[in-house]
Amino acid sequence: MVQEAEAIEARALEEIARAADPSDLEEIRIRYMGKNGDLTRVLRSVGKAEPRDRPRIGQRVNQAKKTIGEALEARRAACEAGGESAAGALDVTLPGRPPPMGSKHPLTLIREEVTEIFRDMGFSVVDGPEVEWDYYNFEALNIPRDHPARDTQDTFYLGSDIVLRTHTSPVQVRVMEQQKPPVRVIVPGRTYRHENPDATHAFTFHQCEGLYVDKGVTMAQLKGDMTYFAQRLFGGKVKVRFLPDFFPFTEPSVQYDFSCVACGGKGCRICKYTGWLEISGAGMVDPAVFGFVDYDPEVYTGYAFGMGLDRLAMFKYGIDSIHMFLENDLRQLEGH
Amino acid sequence: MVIKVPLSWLQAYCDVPWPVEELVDRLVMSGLEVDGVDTVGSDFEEFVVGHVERVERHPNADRLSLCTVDVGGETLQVICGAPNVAAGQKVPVARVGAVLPGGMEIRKAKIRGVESFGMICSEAELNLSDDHEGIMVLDAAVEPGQPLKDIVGGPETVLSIDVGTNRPDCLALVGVAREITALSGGELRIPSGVVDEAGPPVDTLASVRVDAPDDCPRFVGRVITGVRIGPSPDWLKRRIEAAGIRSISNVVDVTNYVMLEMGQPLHAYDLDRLAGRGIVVRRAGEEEAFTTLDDVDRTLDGEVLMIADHETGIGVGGVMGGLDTEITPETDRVFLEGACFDAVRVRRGSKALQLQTDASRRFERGMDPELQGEAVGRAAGLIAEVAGGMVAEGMIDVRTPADPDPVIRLRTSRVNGLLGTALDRDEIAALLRRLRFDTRADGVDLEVGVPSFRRDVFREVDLIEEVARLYGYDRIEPVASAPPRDDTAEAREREEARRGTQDDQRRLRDAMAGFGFTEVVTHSLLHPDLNRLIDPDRPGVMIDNPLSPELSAMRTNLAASVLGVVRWNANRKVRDIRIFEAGRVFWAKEEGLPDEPEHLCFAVTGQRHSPHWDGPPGAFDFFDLKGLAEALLGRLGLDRVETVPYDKIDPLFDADRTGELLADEVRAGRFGAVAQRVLDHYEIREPVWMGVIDCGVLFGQASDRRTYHAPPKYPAVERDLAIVVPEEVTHRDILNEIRACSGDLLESVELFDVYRGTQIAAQSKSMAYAMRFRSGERTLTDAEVTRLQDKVLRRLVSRYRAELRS
Repeated sequence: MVQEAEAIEARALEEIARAADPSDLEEIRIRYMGKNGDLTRVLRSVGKAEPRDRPRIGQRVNQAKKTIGEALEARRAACEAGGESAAGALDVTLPGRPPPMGSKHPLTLIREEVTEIFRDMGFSVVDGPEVEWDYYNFEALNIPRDHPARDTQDTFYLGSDIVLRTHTSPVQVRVMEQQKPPVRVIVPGRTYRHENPDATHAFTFHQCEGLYVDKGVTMAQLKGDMTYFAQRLFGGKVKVRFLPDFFPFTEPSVQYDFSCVACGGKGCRICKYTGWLEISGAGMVDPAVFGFVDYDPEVYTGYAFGMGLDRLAMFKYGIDSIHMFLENDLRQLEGH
Repeated sequence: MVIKVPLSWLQAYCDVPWPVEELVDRLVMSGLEVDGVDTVGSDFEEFVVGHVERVERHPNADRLSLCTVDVGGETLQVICGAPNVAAGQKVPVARVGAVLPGGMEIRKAKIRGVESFGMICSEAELNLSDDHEGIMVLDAAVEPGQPLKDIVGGPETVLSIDVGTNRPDCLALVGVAREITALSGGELRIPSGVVDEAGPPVDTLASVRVDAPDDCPRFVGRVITGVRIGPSPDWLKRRIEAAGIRSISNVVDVTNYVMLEMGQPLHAYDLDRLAGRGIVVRRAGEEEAFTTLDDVDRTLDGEVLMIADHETGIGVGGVMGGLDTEITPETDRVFLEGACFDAVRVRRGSKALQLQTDASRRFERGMDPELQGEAVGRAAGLIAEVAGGMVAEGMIDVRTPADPDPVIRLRTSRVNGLLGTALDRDEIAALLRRLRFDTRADGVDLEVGVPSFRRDVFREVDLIEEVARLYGYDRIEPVASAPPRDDTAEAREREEARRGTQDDQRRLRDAMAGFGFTEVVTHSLLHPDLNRLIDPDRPGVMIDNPLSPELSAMRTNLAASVLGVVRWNANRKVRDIRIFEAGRVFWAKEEGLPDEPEHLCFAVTGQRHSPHWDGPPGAFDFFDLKGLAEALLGRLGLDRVETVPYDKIDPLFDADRTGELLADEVRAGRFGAVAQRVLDHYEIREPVWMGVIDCGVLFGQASDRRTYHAPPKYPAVERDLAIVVPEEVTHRDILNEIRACSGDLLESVELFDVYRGTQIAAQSKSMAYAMRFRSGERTLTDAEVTRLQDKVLRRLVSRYRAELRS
C-alpha cells in the first residue's frame, strides 16, 4: 500500500505539472482526492492493513495527500497568475505589468538639483512675483527709466509701472528690504522677455538668481563658490572662467563660463568649438543697489549671480532645443 | 551695440602685435566681447580692371549684354546680365581661372550660343558688400589690366565687437585701439583735429545759438566752401563699407568715417539751404511736424530736442537730420555739426520717433564733451581732401563749461577687499595708467584722475572694475566662502519656513510622479478667450504690448493650457495621457500687483494603465480620479480629507460629475469630468478627467510629521451592515451617522457593496458596510457591539428611511 501511495503521488504530481488551467486541476483533484479518488480509496483501505503497519501506512498516505494538495494549490496560484505554458514553465520573457511611471519635468529636475547644491552651501531658497513693479525690476537695480540698458531687456508691460519680470534679480531687492545681512539666497523662477521666438530664443525662460551679502564677501569667493557649484552639477573636472561684462546692478561685473561639459574643453558642436559654455552673468553687488535697500556698502559687500535653468538643463540632460521645455511632447517627457 | 572693426583700418591707430586669434582672446578677457571674425574681399588672383569698350545686345537673349572689355593689352568678349553695364565704365573682371570668394571658378562658357571669357562682378560677388544690384563700377582713373587687389585691397579681417552700454568710448576704432594699447603697452595714434584753414572766418558764414543748454552742453560747427559732391575715393568707400555703412557721397561718407573712427556722430548740412545760415538748438513745439531724412513725416512734442534753422526744424538732435537741408549733388558750402547732446534727451527723441540710429545709440550712452572740436576738425580736413574746397577759419564752439574730470580716491584695501586679491598700490597705479587714468600716490592709497572719454567711471568701485579686468579675472584665485552664520533664532525660523515651502513643492511633484503622472510646464501667457472659457468671472491680467493675441493675457487657471497639452499629444496619437502641472496663475486685483496663487492641475484620458497582453485594464473613471485626489492630499499629510458635491457651477466641469475636496473642512480644490462644451472647444474627442487644487491650502495644511501608533492590544469585533436606502441618500450621509453613533469605538468602516436591481425596491439602493470596533482599554463584548450596531441602524431608519436588508 505504501508503494501504491507513492506511485499515486508521483502520477498526480506529473499530471498537476502538465495541467493547463484551474479546471484541469479540479479534475485532477477529484480523480485522486475526491470521494472515489485513488488516494481516498487507499486511505480507506488502511483499516484493512495489519494493525502494527497502520500508523506507518497511514502516515505515508497522509503525506502523499498533503503533497498533492500543496502541489495543486501552488499550481492553481501559478495558473491564476497567468503566463504559464502547458509545459509547466513560466514564460518569464512575457511583458510584465509595469506600475504607472510618472516623471518630473526636466525644469523641475534641474531646479531641484541646483537648489540642493546651493542649500548645501548655506543658501536658502526664496521666491517673488512674476508680475513685478518696474521699481524692483529696473529702478532699484540701478537701471533708471532712460537708461539704454533697458533696451537689452525687451519687456512686457502691464501699465506704466508694472512689468513681467525680465530676470529674477528683483527678488534680490525684495529680500534685502526685509532682511539684514547676512543674506544668502537663491531665487529660481520664471522670467519673460518680449522677444519673438526663434531657434535659440524664447519669450519665457527660467532663471536662478543668487545673492550673498555679508562682511568681507569677495570676488574670489564668487569664483570659488561658482566653481564648487559647477563641479557638483557637472563633475569635478569642470573649470570656471570669468570674463569682464557689464550689468548695472553689479560692479565689477563678469560673464562666467563653464568648460564644456560635453567635450571637456577640447571643442565640440555644443560649445561651438570654443571649449567653453557661457552660463550667465555675475558680479559684486553695486553700491547703488545697496543704497536702495539701506545697506552700508562700507560695511557689507556681496556677490550676485544669475543662471539660466533652461540652459543648464540642456547641458545636463542632453536637450538640444530650448523649445523642448514648453512643448510638452509626452513621447519625450514620459518615463524619466 | 555691435560695431564692425576692419583690422587694417584699426591698425592705423595702433599696432596689433598678435595674430587675430590671440587678439580676440585678449580683447574678450579684458572686456570687449568679440562676437565674430569675418573676412571681407579675397586675394583676387586673376581679377583685373576692365574697360568696357562696347555693349551690344546678346543675339539670343534680351536681358544679356555682349560686352567687349579691354583688360590691358587684351580684349575679351564677356556676357553680362546686369542692367547697369555701359560702355566707358571701368569694372572688375574675373578672368577665366579666377575663383570668386564664394568658391565658384570662372570658366570659358557658352551662354545661349555665344562664348564668354570671364565675368564682370558685383560688390556682393566680390564679397565686398551686400550690394548685388548690378555690377560694381570703379573709379574712372584706374587703368585697364591693373590687378583688382591694388584697388579694392586684399582680404580684410573684420571683428564684430558687442560693446556694452557702459563703454561708449569703445564705439569707435580709436577707443578699441586704446584698449589694445592698454594690453600691449604700444603707442596710440589719435587722428589730429588740426586743420588747414584757408577760407574766410567761420563767423562771417554761419551762426549757432543754443536755447537748450542742458540738452546740448556743446555744439561745434565748421564750414567748408567750394566742395564738389561726388563719389568717395576707393579707400574711403572700402573702409566704411567694411565697417558696415553704405557709401553715399564723399561728404556724407566722411561724416560716417569720422564717427566710426572717433565715436563722434557728425552731421553735414547744405549751408545755403539753412534759413538765416544759422542753427538754433531748441525743444520741439507741441505737435511740431517734421520730415526726417528717411522721408517719413513725423509729429514731435516738447520732450524732443530740435535742431532748427532760423525758420524751421531741420533735425532731431542726436537722432536724424531732415530732408530739406541734406547734402545734394549741387551743394557748394557745407556746414558741419558735431554736438554733445544729453543722453536722456536723445533717448526720448529716439523713442518718440521710434527710430534708433548709429548716432542716437552713441549719444544715449553718453558722449565725451571734449571730443567735438577734434572730430569736426578731423572731418573738415578730410572733406577738403576728398571733396575739394576750403575750410573756413576757426570753429563755432557753443558750450557750457563741462564738469571738471573727476578725481577719485582709490583705497588699496578696498581693491583687495572687494576682489580678494593682494595687489599693492603701485601695481594698481600701473594698471590704471595703462588705461590712461592719472594716478597720484597718497599714502598707501591713490588719487585717480579720470579722462573725459571715460564718463562711465565716477566711483571708487568703477575704478576697481578697471583694475580687475586689466589685471585679469583668471588671476583671481577662487576661494570657498565662509560657512553660513545664520546664528540667531530668528534666522533659523526664517530658514525653516523657506524650506517648508520648497519641500512641499517637491513632495507634491514626487507624489504626482509616483502616482504615474508626467509633469508638464506650460506658458503663462495665453489668449484671453481661454481664460473666459474656463474661468469666466475671474478678472484677468492683460499685457499692453503682447507678441500676439494668443499671448496677450496671463493665465487665470492652469486647466486651459493643460488641456492644450492633452490635445497636442492626442493629435500625435498619444493615448492614455496622465499629466500634471504645478504653477502660478494670475488674478487681477483692484490695484497693485495681481495675486499669483500656485495651483496644481492634473488630467487623465484613456485607460487605467497601459494596455497589457493579459487583457484591457478598463477606462479611467470618476472613482479612479477621486481615489487619486484624496490619496494625494493624504500623502501630503492633510487631515480629514473628504469629497462633497460641488454646490455651485464650475464651467470647467460637467455639473453632474464634479466633486469638491475638503481638507479639514477647508475647500482645497475640485475634480471631475471636463465639460463637453470645453472639450468641444479644444476638439478633444476622448473624455478628460481633471482636478484642480489650490496649493496654498495644500501647503498650508501639509505636514511631513509622522506619528507611529502602537499595535492594538485588544481584539476587534467585525460586523457587516447591509441596508436599503432611498437613492438620494449619499454614502457620506450614512458614514456620518455611523461615525456619530459609534464614537471612539469604531475603528474603521468600509463600503464593500452597492446594489441596485430587481431584488430591492425601485429608486433605492443597497449599501453594505464592514465595520470594525475596537477599544484601546478592554475586550469588547458581543452584546456591547450589538447595541452599537442597533443604535446605528435605528438612527439610519429614522433619519433616512433605511431598511435592514435581509
